[in-house]
Amino acid sequence: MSESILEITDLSLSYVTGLRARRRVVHGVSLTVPARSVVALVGESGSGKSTLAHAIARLLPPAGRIDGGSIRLGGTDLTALSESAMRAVRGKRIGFVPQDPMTSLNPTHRIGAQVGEAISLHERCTPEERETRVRALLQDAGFAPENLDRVLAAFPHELSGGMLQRVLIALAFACGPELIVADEPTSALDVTVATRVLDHLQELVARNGCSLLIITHDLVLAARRADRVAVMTNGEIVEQGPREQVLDGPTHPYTRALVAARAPARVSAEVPADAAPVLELHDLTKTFVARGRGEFRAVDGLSLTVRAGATYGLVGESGSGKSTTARLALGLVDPTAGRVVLRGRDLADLSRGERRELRRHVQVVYQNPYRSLDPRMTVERIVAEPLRAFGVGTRTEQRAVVRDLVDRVGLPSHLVRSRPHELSGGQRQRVAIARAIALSPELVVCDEPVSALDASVQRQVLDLLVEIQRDLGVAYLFISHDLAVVRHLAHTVGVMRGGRLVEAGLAEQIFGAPQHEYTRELLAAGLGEGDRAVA
Amino acid sequence: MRSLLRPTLRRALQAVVTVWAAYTLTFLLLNVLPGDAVLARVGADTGLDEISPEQLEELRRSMGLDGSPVTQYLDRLSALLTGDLGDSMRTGAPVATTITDALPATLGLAAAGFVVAVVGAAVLAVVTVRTRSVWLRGLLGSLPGLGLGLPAYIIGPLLIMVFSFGLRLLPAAGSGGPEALVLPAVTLAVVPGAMIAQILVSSLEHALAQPYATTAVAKGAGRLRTILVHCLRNALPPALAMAGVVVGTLLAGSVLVETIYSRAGLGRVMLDAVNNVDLTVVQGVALVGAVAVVVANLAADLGTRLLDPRGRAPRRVAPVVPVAVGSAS
Amino acid sequence: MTAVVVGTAEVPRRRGPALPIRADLLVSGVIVALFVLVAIAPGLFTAADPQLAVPEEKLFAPSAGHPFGTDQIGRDQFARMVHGAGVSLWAGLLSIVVSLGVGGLLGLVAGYVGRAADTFLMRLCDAILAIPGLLFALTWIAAFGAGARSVAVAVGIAGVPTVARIMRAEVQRTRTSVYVEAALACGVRPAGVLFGHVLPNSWRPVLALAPLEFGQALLAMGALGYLGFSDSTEGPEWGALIAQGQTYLVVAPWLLFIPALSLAVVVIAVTHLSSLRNGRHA
Repeated sequence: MSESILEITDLSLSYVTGLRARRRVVHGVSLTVPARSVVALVGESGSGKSTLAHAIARLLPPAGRIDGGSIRLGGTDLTALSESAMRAVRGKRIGFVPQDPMTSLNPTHRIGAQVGEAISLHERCTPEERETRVRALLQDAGFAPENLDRVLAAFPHELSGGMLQRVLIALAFACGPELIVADEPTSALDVTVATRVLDHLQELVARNGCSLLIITHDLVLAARRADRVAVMTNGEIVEQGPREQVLDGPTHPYTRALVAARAPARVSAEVPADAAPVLELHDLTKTFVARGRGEFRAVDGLSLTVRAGATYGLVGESGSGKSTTARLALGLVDPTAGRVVLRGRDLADLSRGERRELRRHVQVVYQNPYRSLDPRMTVERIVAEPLRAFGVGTRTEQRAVVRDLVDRVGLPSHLVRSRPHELSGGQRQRVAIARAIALSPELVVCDEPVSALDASVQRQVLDLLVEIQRDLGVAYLFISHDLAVVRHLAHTVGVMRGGRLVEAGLAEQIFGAPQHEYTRELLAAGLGEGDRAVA
Repeated sequence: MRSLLRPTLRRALQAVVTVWAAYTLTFLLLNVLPGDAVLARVGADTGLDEISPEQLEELRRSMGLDGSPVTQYLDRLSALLTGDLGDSMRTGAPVATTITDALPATLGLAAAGFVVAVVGAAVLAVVTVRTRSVWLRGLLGSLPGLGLGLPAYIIGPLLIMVFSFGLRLLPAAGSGGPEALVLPAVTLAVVPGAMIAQILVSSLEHALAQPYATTAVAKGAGRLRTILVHCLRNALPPALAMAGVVVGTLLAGSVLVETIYSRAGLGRVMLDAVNNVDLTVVQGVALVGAVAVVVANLAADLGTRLLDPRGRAPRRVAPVVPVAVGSAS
Repeated sequence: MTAVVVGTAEVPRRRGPALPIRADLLVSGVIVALFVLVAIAPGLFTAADPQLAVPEEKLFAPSAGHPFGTDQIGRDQFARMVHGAGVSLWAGLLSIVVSLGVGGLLGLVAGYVGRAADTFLMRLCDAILAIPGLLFALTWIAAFGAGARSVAVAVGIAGVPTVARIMRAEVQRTRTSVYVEAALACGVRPAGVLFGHVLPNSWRPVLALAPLEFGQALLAMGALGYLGFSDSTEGPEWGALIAQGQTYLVVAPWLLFIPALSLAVVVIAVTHLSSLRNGRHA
């Protein structure tokens, strides 16, 4: 094996949390990145992978400490360097690509200046030379030559997420480093954009002859692009080796679980095609008027039907209008044109009181488990709220129902007295589901219910939803950007883009033989990568 | 730049409304609510039993306090638009003149205090945020909190005790010369300086924790450079938002400082007026204060907009420059 | 709405490691508790009569008999301070009751009802804010007369806009939060949302303002006392004591030094308590 560019040996990291208290985040970790290769460090949130990545370039916050071990970059022990020596390494020998492109560039400096700074911090050159190099870097990163003038003069808020990430990549390559560390470089991007950006990154790495250490939560990404894979959990690297070895024949139980979570979905039970429609959207349009910015059509002539006991999967990337559709379906917002028909009744015909009555039959599960539960209420109160709102049963009866529901969603009963901040994301989402089925509704609108959860937890929550549908016969309007997720439980699928439905039909049809080009693009990108997108 | 005009005009209009509202508020407080201003005024000077009802009525008419509150208000308001702040109820002199005579001294003091406060706060904030030493950061970070507990009437006399009577370095009173300005300016600057320092430290630390600061360090920038070149500009808006409060504190502080150091200025004018229940003068000074605060806010608002490129070009400029070559999006 | 990836914030967002927070808090707490005790029960601390003037004992330095010395007509300074503390305390409390009560109500209405009410109330607050605090208090005094109570109310009203703004911001934040929308989607009535969700989540930050506002009130009253406006029958306000001390600075510096430092220490302790409370919940 050729010499390694990066060798981490027995590294331990912690955060100082009090005068004498420390919290160990990384325990005795060893990692090798060979020269001219791509290594993927895979782990879920909280595993310590991001801390490890930052520690390599010594980018930890003031509270971060290296407790022991060494980080050798091509022979130099980085842990032994002084701060000023380290400054000469950052940017010059190690290029760092951060996670969130929207906030990783200074909003008050122009792009050209920011890329130029990456050069001028390490090398002396005239302004003309610098500009030439900046242009070359940006072009390499994927910007067309005729657009360079505009990009150089632009401020970050004028560019899209994908473009900003390319700028950040250009920054990292500015001084021809030996190692690029990329911390979840595409998690914040739409799936289709992410693919292209990653392709480019790989190309640049190969061309420059450096190594790439890419941090990610996505096993599929690792499978596609890395030569070597390391799996991290709870501050330890549990498995490490060539890609095929780790992914095809994992030895550690954690790795096995991770690989299993990505297994092909199970299709939910068949539903008779003539089941009564629970929700019908007819030619729905919603236009927003922003002051000084003109009109914006979020939903444009959308029509769909959700049948009893079935799941309609509505898929689209960010800005496609799917969230607005959810709110229209719930009657939380009125359409500009078109009709929303719930249980055979047009929402527009109903008085406020009647609409409220209808809520017994239509409930919702939101995306963000951290925001959809009142932080001051106990789980019991939260789940009981719909019961209380409609005066169902006495207090004692309600408490019994709540206990049942909590049990049904797979939560230990003692959690009834807990508050949301004491629960994990997956647990909170289960609470939200318990709340949603409290009144045994006919329809539950699920607005990206698992997007904010870790991969392993996603699977569990989806299984729960399928179970509940089977037991209660509840219909779902399931909204998501992730096709792999939708595949889990949708009978009918609709693909949304720019407020319109570009293709709709039975699940097997859409997944097996997609007609529209956009659907095909989504499938190729989505089912392969599965990167999280912005909703 | 053109896009700045409309919001600025809108703010200016709001500012005028605020000044008007402040004026109305003082009018309500002074002329309407407490009841008979004339009686109060007369009672302050001479005994009430020494004046006959006819003389009271005459007095009322001469001060323009006859007629309903509404007519009084409208008269005063229209006079205000021509710059007439009324006449002193005690001396009869035009309030506007009294104020403009006393204003320069106070403005000078306030300006000196402002400079000391801003410079001191900026230096302290940068030093506090720059250090990586935990205990030093804690120590420096607690200084603004201490400063807030040392208003002019506490620190002023203490400074006089040390520097004037103890070390005999600086004068304890008087309005003449630059040496007489040092202690008053420092005294005045402590509280506003502490306010500014506190908010600057907090917003600088917030900026340092942002991803773009990490990017700067990842490029190889040192901490000081990151703070000064990258973070400072982004950290200014919250501090600017305090401009109105700071100016208000400086003006109020000037009143105190002028008393502490026996300096001439608006402070003495205001205090005399309050003691003599000279309502028009009180109202005039309060109004001047309101105008100063409002103008400061307006300037700060404009400054914030100029600082933020997003403010200058609110519309997303012809988005998504179509990119080729392996296509970005 | 951007997707929140649960827990990618592996970097704990702390303000930097804590100093001996306990010690800070303890010291501040003790100081404030002592101040309150002195204010409520002056008799526990001194038997001397603050009004008793003994001209032969004028301007004595601190000693066993007179721990803080005597003033220019022979009154025991310690007794004067102890009794004066009560004035500061009650006036300060009155002041924050006005600020929080009126301000909280204004903020609630403005934030919840919105539109015209909001605009009107916020303009009113702008008007109060525009007039610098001390000038506003002086105007009030000119209108309603001097004295501790008048001063307290004036200071309280000057503090209304700050409280109203915060309450309004909190109410707006909770009113538009996802869990409120979730509650509405569940079928909860608007009144239920207001009392069950909006209020419980909004009032805490406002209450957290209380120590800060109290400290500000103490300072403002000290200023007005210094200027001679807060006569009260209970005792001399500390600001007035400071003014008096400055007059006799040359011959009896302790008359200035002790009240000035004491007031500063109490205010700093009170303010420190409030900021720590925020720090822990942040």
